[in-house]
Amino acid sequence: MSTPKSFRYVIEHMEEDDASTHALPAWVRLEYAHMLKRVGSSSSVHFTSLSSTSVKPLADYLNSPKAQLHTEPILKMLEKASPPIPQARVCLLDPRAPKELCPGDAELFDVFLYGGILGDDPPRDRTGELRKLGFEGRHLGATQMTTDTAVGVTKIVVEDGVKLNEIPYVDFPTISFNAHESIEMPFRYVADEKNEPILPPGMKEHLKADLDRTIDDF
Amino acid sequence: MASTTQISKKRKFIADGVFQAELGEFFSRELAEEGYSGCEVRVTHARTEIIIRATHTQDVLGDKGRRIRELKALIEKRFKFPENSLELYAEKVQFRGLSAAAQAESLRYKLLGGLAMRRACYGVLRFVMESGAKGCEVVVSGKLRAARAKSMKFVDGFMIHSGQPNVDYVDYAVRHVLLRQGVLGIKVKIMKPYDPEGKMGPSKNLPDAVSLVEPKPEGAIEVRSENKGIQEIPQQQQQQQAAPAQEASQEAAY
Repeated sequence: MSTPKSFRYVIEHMEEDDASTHALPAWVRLEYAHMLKRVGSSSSVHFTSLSSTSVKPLADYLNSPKAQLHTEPILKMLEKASPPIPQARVCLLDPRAPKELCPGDAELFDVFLYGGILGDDPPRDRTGELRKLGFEGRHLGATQMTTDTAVGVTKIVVEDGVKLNEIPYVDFPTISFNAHESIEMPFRYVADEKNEPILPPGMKEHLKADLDRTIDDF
Repeated sequence: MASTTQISKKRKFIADGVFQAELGEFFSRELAEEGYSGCEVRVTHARTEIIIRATHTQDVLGDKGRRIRELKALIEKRFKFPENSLELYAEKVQFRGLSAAAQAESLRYKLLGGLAMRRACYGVLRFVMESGAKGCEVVVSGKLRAARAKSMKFVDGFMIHSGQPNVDYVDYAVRHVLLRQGVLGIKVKIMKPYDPEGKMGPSKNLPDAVSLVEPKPEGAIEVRSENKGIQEIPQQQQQQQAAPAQEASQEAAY
């Protein structure tokens, strides 16, 4: 194998903007920034369907040539790409897909598509909106992952050639802040050498700050 | 309940269970603001008595007893009790800090009132521990707009999870907070203290609680024997204080 193949990871953004800033909410930014770290050196991450007000703040925040921001939705973005990308080369990561993602899929696909669906438990199946567009689907296992974890896992399977069930995971981790407070995240994460979940940098502090919010702030 | 036809014992127990479940659920919904904590049903052949335990009994009774009469009428009509065979009483909860249902409701209203999550939960935690509980656990779960779904857990003290003591000692309640954007779940677990009088908690101690009894101070032990002469001092007497032991051995040496 010569130079590693470059993949495109496309996140179709589906969350609402923060009401006051009209830009992405803080935790969405943290997860998106984390994705840039997890993909291979020659790959890039694209964000589609962003609102026009959120593009500039996000670009400034991410500050990376690996990130490409678009306001068009996915199909338009595929058409506009040079050369235009055929739909058959796009793989939708879909919990309801019949087949599991495997290292062989690196040959079949150039683009991996995710719903930038951030957070319901149990999942509300917003990926369904993308499924209707007719992309080939692959799943990443039964337990829901955060979007940045999903991108990281796809990279490990497709670029590093590791099988899905050989990746170390930690499910539903509890993050303790002190003897009295802890937060359990009902998702699957990739585990590091210390068997702790790999969270986006700054996420732990953000979660801790969440405890001080009222229900109106959320 | 109110039927006079014969029903098999099995069906009777099931019917009783369903009745208590429905009654409890009805009161939980209706009397949430009054700090409803539980109810007890006593059946005598003349009438049935329902005792409602709540923190704000005055509100349960209502203006000149109006509210409780309305509740009584509703229950009578729903379960088809014959006239005057049903009585409702309201009783004040003794230790509302030890009632998980009351605390869950209180937390619900605190959150709806706009208090910060941490402050509201710590408030409940502190009140429960000050009321003398052994341990408390508060969990708030759900997805709110612009955050990931998560479970926020606050604990203090000591908590057991399994076995019969779990049933005896731990009081557990679940409540839903309905918001515009979704539902939050509140779970409160309170571990009651051991109370020999049985008011604050069970009067039976935890199975693994060991109490050591202090040994009684022992007096001098005389060594008497029919036979005079040298005798063996048995090994047990080594525990004795040195003086009596020495006396005994001196006697034996004679």
